[in-house]
Amino acid sequence: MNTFHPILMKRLWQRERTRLLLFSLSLFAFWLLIIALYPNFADMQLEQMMEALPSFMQSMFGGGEIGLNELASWIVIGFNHPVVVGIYGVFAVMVGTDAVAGEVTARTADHLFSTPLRRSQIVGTNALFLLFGCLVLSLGVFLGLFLGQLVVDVELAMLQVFYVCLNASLVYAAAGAVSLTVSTWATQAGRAAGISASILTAMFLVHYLADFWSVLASLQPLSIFAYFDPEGILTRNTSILTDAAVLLAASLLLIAIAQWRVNRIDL
Amino acid sequence: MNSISVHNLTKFYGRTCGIEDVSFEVPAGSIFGFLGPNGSGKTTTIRILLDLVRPSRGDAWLFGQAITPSYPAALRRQIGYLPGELRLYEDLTGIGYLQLMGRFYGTINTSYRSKLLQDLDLAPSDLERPLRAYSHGMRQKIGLVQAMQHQPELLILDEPTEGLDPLVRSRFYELLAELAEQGTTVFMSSHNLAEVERVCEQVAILREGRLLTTESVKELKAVRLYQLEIELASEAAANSFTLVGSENRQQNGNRLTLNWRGNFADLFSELGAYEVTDFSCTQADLEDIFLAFYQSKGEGEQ
Repeated sequence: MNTFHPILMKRLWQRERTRLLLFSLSLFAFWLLIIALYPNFADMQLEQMMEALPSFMQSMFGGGEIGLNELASWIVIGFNHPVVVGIYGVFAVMVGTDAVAGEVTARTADHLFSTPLRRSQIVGTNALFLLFGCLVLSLGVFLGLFLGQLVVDVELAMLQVFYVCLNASLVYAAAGAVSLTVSTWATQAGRAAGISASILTAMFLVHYLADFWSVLASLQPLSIFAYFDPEGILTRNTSILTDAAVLLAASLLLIAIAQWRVNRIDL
Repeated sequence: MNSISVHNLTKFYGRTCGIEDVSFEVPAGSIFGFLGPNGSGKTTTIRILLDLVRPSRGDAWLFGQAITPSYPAALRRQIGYLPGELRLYEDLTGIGYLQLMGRFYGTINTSYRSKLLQDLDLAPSDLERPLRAYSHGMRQKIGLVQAMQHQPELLILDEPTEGLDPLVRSRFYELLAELAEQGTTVFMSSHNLAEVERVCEQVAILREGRLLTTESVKELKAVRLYQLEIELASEAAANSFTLVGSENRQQNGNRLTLNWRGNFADLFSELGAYEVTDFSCTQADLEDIFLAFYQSKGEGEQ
């Protein structure tokens, strides 16, 4: 069954392009700044500061296995920075929510869902656009890092950076799939966005808190953020294949649930 | 052959009943009015026909095919739909919106679209403006063009003339007549009896989620129920005023409001016996006409 519609894809691009390009540009500027600031802090004695931090925060900064004055650690910090998490997260939640709940709340669903497009096609196309959008955001990250390392003259394995960016895209595309699924259950945009944001925040916290709070350890595999290890990719050349496969499978499962659900609801 | 067949269609929203046991058929090539006050279930029925809402009970058929979640895209291409309380994608221009919606349906005959735009008085310069800058009437016009531009075999229009000025409304009626002549079926909801009388051949009347009747417009027209407002020179005159064929009489001092059906010559001769200081005569509202219709039917049966 055809689950993708090129004209709807074009429409989504038309609707989201300004936001997407602004977000991508912001990420580009953020990562450029991260690299530009790095040499100023690289010589400072940051290890003691690191040791003073609680263990879950250490894991946010690279798990304490690498020094704070190493570039890889800065990149790990960058991916946990509220600006980066916020931009990726807001994009994923907004696009996911708008797919069904947003159309219903704006009362444009009557138009879109009465066209020859199938409901499952509408969900499928939104899912594909989410992945595309996350890749565009990651392109901003990649270009920021690439240009930064050229300007500041630091060594950065760009292939590993590419894998980190790809992995980040898949994590946030999965976040979008969560939001997309929620938008077929809670068909009021505000409620759907709130529930999605809560689920994703809970996943984010569970992933980091589980490192020092054993009660949460069993829940850690349920968090999509557990399948993103920038430190491993950058310092140990860890393959992203397993994490990517898990994230893709989770996303496909969520999209299948959303497609099943959307065929059963009143719009 | 019927374009639309609906059998015992029932929809509950939780415990609230949207429609109950609604059944009717719309012959191909006809203009069918779906009449009822706000909240009577017209939009619910229409949304079931478009598979936007799933019925709790009963079934609906379009061109002989049951409406199910998997009903084919080819069938949807034969339908043009104008939603009630139209909401558009505000970020698009008028032409951008028409092109987008047109592409969803396949190929659009642009010369036919131009004709529609001309008929509905939408200038090319209007189409370049973003939809958020459109007035209510212009939105409605662009919605109508959108519904008709792919030349569907069935037009489903929910309150299509809301916000249209009288001139455009009149052109729209002509357009509907043209389409019906070419074999297009038009199913339009309205709470305006005069509009339905003017354009429709048959009408289904809905009240509180139940279908009261499906009648030919000719029969309904025969009821001729009017609401009269008469102001007489004194209260005493108003007290003594009687009129054959009147009902629902209400008096406020020297002012009378009543529903009436009968012969105008008799009305004027009756009024001539009094000093009338103010007078108005309008078509009675739908509810009263339905009641009168049933009364007259009941009397006929006796």
